[in-house]
Order: sequence, then structure tokens, then C-alpha cells
Amino acid sequence: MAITLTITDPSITQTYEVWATPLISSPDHIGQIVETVDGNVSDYYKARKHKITLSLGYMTAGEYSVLKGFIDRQWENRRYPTITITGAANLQITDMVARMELNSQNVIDNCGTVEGVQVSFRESKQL
Amino acid sequence: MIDVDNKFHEAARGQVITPTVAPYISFTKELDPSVGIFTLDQSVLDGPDILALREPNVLQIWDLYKYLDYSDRLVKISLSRSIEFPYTVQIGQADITFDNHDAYFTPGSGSAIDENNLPGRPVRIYAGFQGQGSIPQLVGLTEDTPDINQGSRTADYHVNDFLTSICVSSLLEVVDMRDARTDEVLAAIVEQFGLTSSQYNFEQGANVIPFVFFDIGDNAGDAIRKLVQAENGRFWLDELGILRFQARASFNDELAMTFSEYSIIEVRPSENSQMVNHVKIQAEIREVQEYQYVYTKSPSGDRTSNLWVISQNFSNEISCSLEDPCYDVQNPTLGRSSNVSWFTCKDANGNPVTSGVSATSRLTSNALIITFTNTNNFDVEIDEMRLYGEPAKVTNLLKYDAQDENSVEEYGEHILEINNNEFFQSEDQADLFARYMLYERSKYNPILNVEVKGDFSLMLGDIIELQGEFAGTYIVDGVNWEYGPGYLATTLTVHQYNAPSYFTLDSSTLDGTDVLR
Repeated sequence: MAITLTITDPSITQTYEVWATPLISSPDHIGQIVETVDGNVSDYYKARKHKITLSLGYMTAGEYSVLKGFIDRQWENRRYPTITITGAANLQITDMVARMELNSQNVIDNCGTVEGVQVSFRESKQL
Repeated sequence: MIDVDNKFHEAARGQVITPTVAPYISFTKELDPSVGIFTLDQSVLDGPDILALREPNVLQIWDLYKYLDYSDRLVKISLSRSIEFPYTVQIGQADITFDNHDAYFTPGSGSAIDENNLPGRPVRIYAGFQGQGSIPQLVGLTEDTPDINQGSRTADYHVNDFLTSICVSSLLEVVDMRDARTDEVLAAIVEQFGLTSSQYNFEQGANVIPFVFFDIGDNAGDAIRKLVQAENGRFWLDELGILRFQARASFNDELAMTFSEYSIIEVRPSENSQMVNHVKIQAEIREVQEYQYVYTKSPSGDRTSNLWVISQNFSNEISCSLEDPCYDVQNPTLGRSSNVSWFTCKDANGNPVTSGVSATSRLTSNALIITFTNTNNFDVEIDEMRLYGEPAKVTNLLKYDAQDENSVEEYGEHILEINNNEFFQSEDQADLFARYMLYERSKYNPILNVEVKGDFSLMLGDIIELQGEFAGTYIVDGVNWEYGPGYLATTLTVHQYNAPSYFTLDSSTLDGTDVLR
């Protein structure tokens, strides 16, 4: 089953159809456990934030350039993109502001094809 | 302890604790004329009015600024309040780290606050727990422009509470009082910094000081510390921003809070015990005398002293040193007279000058600064002068010495020597101070640093109970907390509290160990 990832920033909106696996969703727990002198524990808790990693497989040089454009603009404009993910089991994301990261670019031929493209998102908010 | 709902305390000690901290800053220092104390059925929730807590509230000038909430950019914040031993003036300060990825806080960046990103910006810090509201923790001023960290893209501000700002300032006017209570002198000092009597809450002090003189430029903090120490009272800016003085007699002996073992994370005894088992106080006792001559300048004779020459149509300032500080010195006038300050003049040929020379004067702690003005078309010399005033002469020397012999034998001598506080003016006063000091500090009483599940309602001077290995009753000397997303680390500095046994008529023994309230 394929899922749909849509990335939007002030310049463009781009949609990717990706395989549902591997999809790593590991909520970031913003908090700290403290152990009291009686041996019990308590939690200082702020929030749980989405942290999602998706594999996009192979990409042509042109496709990769579009994807990398989101990363470049994130830093140039100092503004995170928003993402929407549909079709994934137990994960429904709509217009979530997220800090975006891309793994190392692994070019495998003279046409610039990139292998093993992986994109990660950490939920945040727009200032 | 700040009076809050019991649910607030429960939220502080629960299993899943959700602290919230919000820094508000008024970069523009613009006043918000709409601010008032929240009035039921009139004020708007989430409007600009300040929610009055359960005690009578005072509207301070710093309440009236337009503040903006910078929680969205908060990375971490640490706050500390402590009592300065052996004084009892409490100081509060905070360090705030903001996200500065867009150079918003960088001076010269052209950001929205750039023009007003200056030292001395009013700051208010609130803290609480999700769903339980927030309570004030500190009101103060930024100390400097922020430290910018390019690597972590953060900006750090240091904030001192308003009392600290007053304590590092110099007095703007002379304080010249006689037979004044501690609270009256404190009021005269803080009013120089723009506070009115409705903006502070000072209890009536027991110490009546025969003569007080602070000069322009004297450090306000030194003056306040000495006054409060001699009273053995407490002086602080509370979390609401109200300046308070509390006399020793009204200290609260009630237990504010109990920390069970499920609220204590770690206890670290400090090597510093702040033990005192020997108190020595030495002070000159001064009393203001009747008007008398306090300065004499003999006739110059044939010699001419350039120091005393006032050129034609010119003014000259001359400082006349006084043997004792004076409560008052009359301004001198031209022409010899009795029971007033006067001076005489002569011209270059030694002929008396009887007009065209006048004087104005300003009293300091050790001199009268006189400005002579000569409107004649020839030079004159001040020939003879006598100043008439009320000197505060040393009438006695207070030498007080008390020790807890058992403690000295057991732990060695730990001496507190006070010889620079002129506000100890009687043996009784010194004795009262020493009794409290020896009662509280002469036994082995290590300072504990206790890391706890923090409760923002705790205040300095609160009495708390610790359970577990260090079970006992303690008094809070310091509160430090650091907050960041998802954590709160709170450390209390405490020393063991021995509830004094107060003197009771017909039951206590004179010269016994009971303490007078």
C-alpha cells in the first residue's frame, strides 16, 4: 500500500507517492524522568512531537533537486515547510509544520540518479 | 509561601508534572494606560488587567508597562533568589536563553525590537503548571544587551530584580534624619528611586536611630543592608514586585510546606555551615547636640590665602571639613553675629567688605560645601568665619560581646564581628540581635542543598519540613530553579530551623534563653 507525502513551502507544493515501508514514526518525548529518594519516579513532561522518517528510494537528478530545494529554502527563508501524510496506518498528518532533513546524497550513475533517498521530519511550529 | 490553590501544590508533586514558565519583556518601555487590577464583572479575561492574588495588591510602575510574552522563543530560563548572610536583604536574578535563529535579539540586526534592545528593559517572569495557572516569580530589569551565541543561535539576557537595581545605585539625595525608625529611613531611601508610599509595604521597625546621614553618591545597597541588619529584619522585593520590610518580631513561624521522600530528589549537605557562636558588635553611639559652633576660620591677618579669595564677579566653592557629622548647619551670611553662621570679608588692602558677597551651602556627611559669590568689581577674601550647627557627637562606644560557650568548646570559635554598622545604637538592640543569631546558628547546622520537585509558590524565609534521611524543620535561604522544555530542576538552600522559645511574662526567666519578640 502506498502512502502520499505532500510537502509545501511558500515556493511550491510537491506530492510524493511512497511505499508504506519502511516508515519510522518515533514520537519525540519532550520530558525528563526524575527519581526521588524513595526510589520512585516522576516525569516532567512538556509534549510529544512527531518524528517521521520516510524512504523515497531512487530519484532522478531532477526529482532530487526539487526535494533538496525544500531543504535549501528552509534555511534561506528561515522557515520550516509543512507536510501532509495520508494513507499510512495509525498515522494521519495534516499541514504539520516540520523541520526537514535529508540523508547523504548517494549518486549511482552518470545521469545523477540518487539511491536510497531518505527524508526525516520533526514536528515544530511556525513562529 | 504565595497563597495558591491546593491543586497547584498537587500539580507540583504529581507523577506527570507539566511546568510552564513565561518571560514577559517590555522592550519599548511603553506604558499601558489600560492596566489596572482585575475587577470582577468589569475586566476581561486574558485582557491587560493584572490578576490580583489573594493578598492586597499594589499597582507598581513596572505593572504599567506594555509587556509581550516571549514564551515561543524560550529555550531555557534559570532563576535564583537568596538571602545574603549575615544580612537579610534578599536578591533575585534570572538568566534567560532565547531562540535567536532569525537574529531577532541580535543588536543591529534591524529586527522589530532592535531599536529598543537596550539594557534596563522591564521583565516579568511567571511560572506555574498546566491547568493551574501561573504566579509571578520575578520582576526586574535586563542588565545589559544580550550575549549572542552564533553557534547555538541563541541570545542570553541577565535580569536583576528591581531591588538589586536599587542596591547597586548611588543615593540621589541626602538622607538627613534624627530619631528615625528603620522603616522611615528605608522609605526615605526607596522614595528617591521613584517609589511612593503606596508601592511598598514596610512594617514598623523597633530600632529608633538617633542620627542618620547618608550623602549623595553613597551606595543605597550598603545603607539598606546595615539598616536591616541592625533591625535583624528582612527586606525583599516579593514575587509580585512589592518591596517589603519585615521586622524580626513578625516573622512567620508556621510550617509552609512538607516535602515527602517522593518530592525529594537529592540532598547535598554543604561544607559551609554558616555557624556563629560568638558575636562581637562595636559601634559609636552618636547623639545630636544643641546648636553650637562647629567650624571656625580664624582671621587671615596680613597673609592672603588664595583658597579663600573670591575673584570679582565670580563664584568659588569651598569645602569646610566638620569634626563630626551634623544634622544641620546654618547657611552663613555676611557680617559677624551671634548664634548664627557668619563670615566676614576684606579687600586686597585689608579693608572690610560689607556687601556684595553671599553664600549658599550644601551639607555632606563630613563637610559643608559653601559657594561664595562676589558681585563686587574687585576681589575679596573670606577673612573670618564661624559655622553654627547641630553636630552628632559620639557620646558612647557600644562594645558588645556574647558567645555560646558550649558551642565554642565543642566546635571551636565561629565569630561574627560587626564593627562598621553605626545603626546598632544600644546594648539592648545588640543583645536582641546576638540572641537570635546564637539561637539559630550556634549549633552544628549544615547548609543543605535539596533538589526537590519544585513548587513555584515557595518563598524565601518559608519554613519547610523534610522527611526521610534528613528529616527536620528547615528555613529556606535560597531558591534556584532551571526550566527548559520538559524539565524543571529546583534546588533549595536551607538550614535547620529551631523555633525560638519566646519570652513570656511570669513564666520565662530574666536573662534566660527565651527570646523577646
